[in-house]
Amino acid sequence: MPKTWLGKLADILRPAPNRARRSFSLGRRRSYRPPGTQEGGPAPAGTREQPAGLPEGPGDDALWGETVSARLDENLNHLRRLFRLPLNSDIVVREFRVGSSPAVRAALVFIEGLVDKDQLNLAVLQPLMVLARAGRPLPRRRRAQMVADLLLPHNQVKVLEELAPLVEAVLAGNAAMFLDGEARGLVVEVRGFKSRAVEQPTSEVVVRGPKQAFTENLRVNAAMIRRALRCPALVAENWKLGRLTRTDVVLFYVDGLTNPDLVDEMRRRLSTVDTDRVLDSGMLEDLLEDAPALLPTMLATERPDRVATFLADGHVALLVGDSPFALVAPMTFTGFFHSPEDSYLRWPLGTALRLVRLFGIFTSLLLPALYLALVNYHEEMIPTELALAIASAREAVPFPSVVEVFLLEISFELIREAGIRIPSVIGPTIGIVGAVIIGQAAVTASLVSPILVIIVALTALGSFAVPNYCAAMLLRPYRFAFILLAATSGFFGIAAGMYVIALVLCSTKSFGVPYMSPIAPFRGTGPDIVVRGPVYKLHLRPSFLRPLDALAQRPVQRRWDPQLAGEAEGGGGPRGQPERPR
Amino acid sequence: MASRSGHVDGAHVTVMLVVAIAAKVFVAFPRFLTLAAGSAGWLALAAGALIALAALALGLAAMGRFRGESMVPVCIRLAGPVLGRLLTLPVWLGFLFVTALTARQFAESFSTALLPRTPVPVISATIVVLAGLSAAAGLETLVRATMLFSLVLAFFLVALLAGTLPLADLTNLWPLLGPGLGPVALEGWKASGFYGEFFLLFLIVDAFRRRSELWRTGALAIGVGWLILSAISVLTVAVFSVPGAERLSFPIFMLARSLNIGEFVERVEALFVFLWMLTAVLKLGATLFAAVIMLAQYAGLAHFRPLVPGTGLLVYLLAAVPRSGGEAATLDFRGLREWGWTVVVGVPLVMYLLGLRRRGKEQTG
Repeated sequence: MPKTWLGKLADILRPAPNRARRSFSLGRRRSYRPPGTQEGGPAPAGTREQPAGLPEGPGDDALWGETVSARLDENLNHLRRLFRLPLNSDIVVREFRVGSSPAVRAALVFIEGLVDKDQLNLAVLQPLMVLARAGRPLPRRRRAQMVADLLLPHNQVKVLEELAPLVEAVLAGNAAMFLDGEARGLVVEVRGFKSRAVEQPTSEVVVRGPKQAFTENLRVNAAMIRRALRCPALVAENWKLGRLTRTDVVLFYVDGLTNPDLVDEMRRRLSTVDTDRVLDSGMLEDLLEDAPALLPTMLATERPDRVATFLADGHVALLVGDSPFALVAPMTFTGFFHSPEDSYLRWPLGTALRLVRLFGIFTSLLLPALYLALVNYHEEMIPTELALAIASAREAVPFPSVVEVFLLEISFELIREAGIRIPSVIGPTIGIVGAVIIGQAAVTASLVSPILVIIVALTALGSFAVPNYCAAMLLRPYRFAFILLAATSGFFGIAAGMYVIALVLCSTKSFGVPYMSPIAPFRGTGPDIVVRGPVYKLHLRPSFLRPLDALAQRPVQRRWDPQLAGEAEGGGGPRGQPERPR
Repeated sequence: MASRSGHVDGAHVTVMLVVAIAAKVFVAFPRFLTLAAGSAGWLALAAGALIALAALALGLAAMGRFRGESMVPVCIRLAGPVLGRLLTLPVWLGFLFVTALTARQFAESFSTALLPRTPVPVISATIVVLAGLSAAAGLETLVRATMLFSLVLAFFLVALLAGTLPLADLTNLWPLLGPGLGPVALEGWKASGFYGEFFLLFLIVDAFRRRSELWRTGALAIGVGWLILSAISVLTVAVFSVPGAERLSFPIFMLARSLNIGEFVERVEALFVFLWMLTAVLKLGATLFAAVIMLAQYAGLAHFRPLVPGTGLLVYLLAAVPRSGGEAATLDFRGLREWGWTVVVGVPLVMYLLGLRRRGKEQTG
């Protein structure tokens, strides 16, 4: 039985995980064909086959290589079958006649709800149907180009020969237009999907600094990055990932600054993504990061200013579809306790806040474990009065201290999880419930001792001080591990656990960059690791990124300052410094 | 992406070697040093360091003609496949026994000082497992972990020195030459065995970007190692006197017990378990790594990691052989280190002589 055109196309376009290392099979906007294959030819060797007997999935309805027919009806029939019309209720095929002389049959295909109807009516249909009456006839040759050049007063119109990009444009919220007698179609940018306005960040709040966060609109997000980095060398490469979702992914980097090896590595990893869905940056992170484990090796941020800072340092960033979080890579350990506010405050305050945050990390990770180790194994360290106070507080508690700690920690985790999931209207209730149950009732019922309530509360405060949500979550499982270690062998167990964590941290890499850079291995870089130096001393970009331009600014700033004037005259300029990108 | 994998920085390796050399101050090393050289232990250590430096120079000179090759392949080239392996076998045995005996001594010390109810084999197993993890993680991770903890270790060490210095009585260091010049010189010769960990450098030659870093790395490691060993030994004698130091099994722990920080925190020696533990596993990780990569080089294996569990088990079993921690310390410092100088001096010397003979043959041929 001869194959249908869809079957043939599916054969050509069946997604292959190893089809290309540098380009995703349905990825970049330009047409891609694997090396050594011809249009309509067999898939390359090593292509993954669909399991026999299963129907071809909806993701295999690709049209790569199919060109637009000169007959309008044939095009429309193609599309009706492709979009499962009339089953699909929101796909609109609007047939009309262009008001030229003689009139030409045409059709618009779009998805209701994704397009801006006003734009479609006023900037597309009205000029074609009404205003074109006064125009000249549309010749068969270059008919689509004439419509684009003369009849469509719209800022973005593309003339395309292949069907696949036209279909993708429709799915992305644009309108595709077909003209009878023309073997090319037009894409008119009329996207009008309603999305949330730009609002304040929710997980990376700052007191001083920009108060804008990414939204669920990719183009708005990209524009926010562009507004922060008004540099022509800022490159935004478009990718499409996911056979079903066809998620737009934008790879950002600064050409001439970011190490090309890093950009190539990111491209290589993107090109190997072979899945049917990429719904959020979190899903893509799992597919791209070095060692999928508890340690995050990419930073998810909702702040455009933070992305801009990282890009200016030589990182790469990804915007993923409708995700309000950008991904930044490579990421090192120190990046997770840096807050964007560190750079906006005066540098001594920025440094102090970082130290407080580090203390918070240690508190969150180790405080319950240290308490257990002290009361169970190293009582001699506790001052006598304090030891007596702890003993009298624990006198009525029937459990061993480790059970007590676990009870309270698990209760706290439950409250925290419930607090996130609970509807915001009754959100405050959870605080009251938690406070009453843990703070009052549990102590009164002698289930836990009051001192442990203080310790768990301090632990919670410590975890809230971590500026990155993923990093703060990461501390939770490790904390429980440390509690177990302390319960079994005191400080010895804690030291062993710390050593294992250090080994994990030191062996992890993010896109080839050691995770503990620039501490281990130690790399000379600006005073922006634990201590945040003054802005005028932050000359160097992070050396572990090996940026093409190592200097972020001239070595001598504040040249109006008499104390620094001599230094500036003495050759503080860019002489002898690495070449800047042309 | 841009960073090349497999290479390590000379400074980082220096720190790792310093920790490996100096870790013995946490066990009974100062006691045995004092028993041998009295108040002149530090002088014996200085003489030993000089001899170790000479041995390092000889070894590097012998290996200089074989760029990027480590000690085992070089010895095989110089002396043939059988003799070459036999020549380096004492080094491998040295690393193996040092790892086992040190693990046992640390396990005994933890059991005595901190975890009296935990069986020694359990503590010993934990330490060996951690050392195995370090060795399996590879050289890059090992040096980075050492680098990461080096600041913490330095802080604790300086705090210990600064805190106990007021308790020191410098008259305890007299007579300066201890039992006399002759015995001190003899002990100095033997003390070169205390720096035997520098052989690790000969095994990781290919991990260095520049060959010129090798001498500097080794020399610095021996120098700083001597400084730490001497400082703790001198302090132990100065605080506890010669007869007192001769009886101390864990001098650092005893020094830490004598620390007094105000009235609130009454006893802080338990805090030193972090210093103790980290030093132990870093040192054991380095020596176990050395033993494992030597085995891999003997067998011509490209990957050393499959050998880690087996070698770790061997270390654990060897650590269980001594009947007590005291016996393990005696075996280490009276047996192994007493004759360690034969390996430290002998192997590089033989390598050098073999290199000279080969060069002579090449010139005449």
